[in-house]
Amino acid sequence: MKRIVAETAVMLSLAVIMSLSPYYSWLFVLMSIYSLLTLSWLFMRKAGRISMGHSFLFGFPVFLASAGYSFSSEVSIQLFIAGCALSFVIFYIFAEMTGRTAFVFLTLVFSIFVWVSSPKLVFEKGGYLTGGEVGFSFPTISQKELHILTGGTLTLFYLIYRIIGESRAGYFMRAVGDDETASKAVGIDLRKIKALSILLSGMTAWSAGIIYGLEFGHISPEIFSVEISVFPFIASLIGAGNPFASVLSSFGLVYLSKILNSMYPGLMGIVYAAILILSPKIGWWVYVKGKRLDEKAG
Amino acid sequence: MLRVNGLMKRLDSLVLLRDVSFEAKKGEIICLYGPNGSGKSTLLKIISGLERADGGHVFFRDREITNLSPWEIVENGIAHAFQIPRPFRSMSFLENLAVSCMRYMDTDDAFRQAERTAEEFDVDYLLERSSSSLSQGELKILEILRAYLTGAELLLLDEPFASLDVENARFLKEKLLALKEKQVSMLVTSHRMRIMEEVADRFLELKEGKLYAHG
Repeated sequence: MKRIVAETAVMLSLAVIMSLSPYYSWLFVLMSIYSLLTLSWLFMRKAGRISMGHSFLFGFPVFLASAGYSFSSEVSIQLFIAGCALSFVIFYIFAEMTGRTAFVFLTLVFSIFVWVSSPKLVFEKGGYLTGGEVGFSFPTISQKELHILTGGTLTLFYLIYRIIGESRAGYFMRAVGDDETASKAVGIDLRKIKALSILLSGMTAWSAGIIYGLEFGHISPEIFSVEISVFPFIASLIGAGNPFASVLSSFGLVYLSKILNSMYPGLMGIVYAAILILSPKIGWWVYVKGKRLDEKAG
Repeated sequence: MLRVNGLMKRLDSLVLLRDVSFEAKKGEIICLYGPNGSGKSTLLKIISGLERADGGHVFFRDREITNLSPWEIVENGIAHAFQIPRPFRSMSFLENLAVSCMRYMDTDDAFRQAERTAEEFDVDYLLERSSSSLSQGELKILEILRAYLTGAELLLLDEPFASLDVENARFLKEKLLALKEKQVSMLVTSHRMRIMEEVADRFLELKEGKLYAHG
């Protein structure tokens, strides 16, 4: 419990420190969006499902909401709710239909399909064409409000993640993540646990998507990009699967991408590719290091 | 307590179980033996819901449980321990045991119950060990205690003595007898006949999917 309080205090301190400059406040919001995406991914991985198409869960409801916003706020809200429900159902069906390996590829292929086909959503509004590659506009709020909303949301979902980890549901998710057949043999209802992990993952990703929309005031099909899909995998790899370390590595990766892309656009993509290629070796190194640190800590 | 009537299982044109019928009483240990591929593990998996029967019926405490889902069968009081232990690798010995109790009690009570059971079975020295660091014998104990802690009245033990040395096999035998004293029934598949003679009340032979009673 002390550890959770200390980790939350570190996150809140970061939120306060980064609120002092407008640029860092903007950066904090961006870092938190990606941290929420990583937490969302970790919820699903806890129950043994590695998603490589998390951009769909993250982007789909807010993409629909932004399209609906062209008509009215009410339509936007209704489409957002429909998007949340649909993305949950699709991921749940994928999890039920496939094994662990197939799930990785199915989510990746599906998110690429959505990324490629989303620019085809174009309609006429007030004599102008809207949608396509450009996307749709989305309402914004002041940077100060956004900063508070983001810091609060990140803290809330981080606490939910940690508290659930210590609960019965958290142990069941870990059991399912470790071995589905053994989980069945001790009486765990796999369907319920899979649905719960996808729901928690979805709630985190949907919140991140809304904040993303509020931050940029605009949603384009790029929200479904592969870069966003693989981001949480890379962040959790660097964070060795530990939620706090993964949140911090999300912060670090976003900061690094800002620096590298200002030097040479697309450089961060090369870094991601290198991490993915070296991921088995990095994973092993992080595992051994983490084990030594654990042993030292007693 | 357990009643199996005319159980059938086919795999394409191959008949794995043909018209298998038997009964087990409360607190009874039944040894199921037979050559490899005779259908012993398949029979256990069908009773525990991990595989579906193509015909026949399974009753437990006069309630039909044929082809129920595995978690429903555990709720009815039957648990399965695998031949090759399947621990939850990210968890310690204690957490593995506690998970089994969490279905019917809160997490704190589940940990207490798991600790008590480990003490009772003289394996409390393993509690803090990571399951990935356990020996084969220790994993077998974990597998059986985890099944027992689901609240099971009938344990289906698939080859519990396989790949155990003499000392570990003797230790495990004592644990099975301790479970028997608690009126837990067991259906045990095994090739280790000498040790099973010290444990089992009755023997059933499965040959090419057909059941024969002995002793």
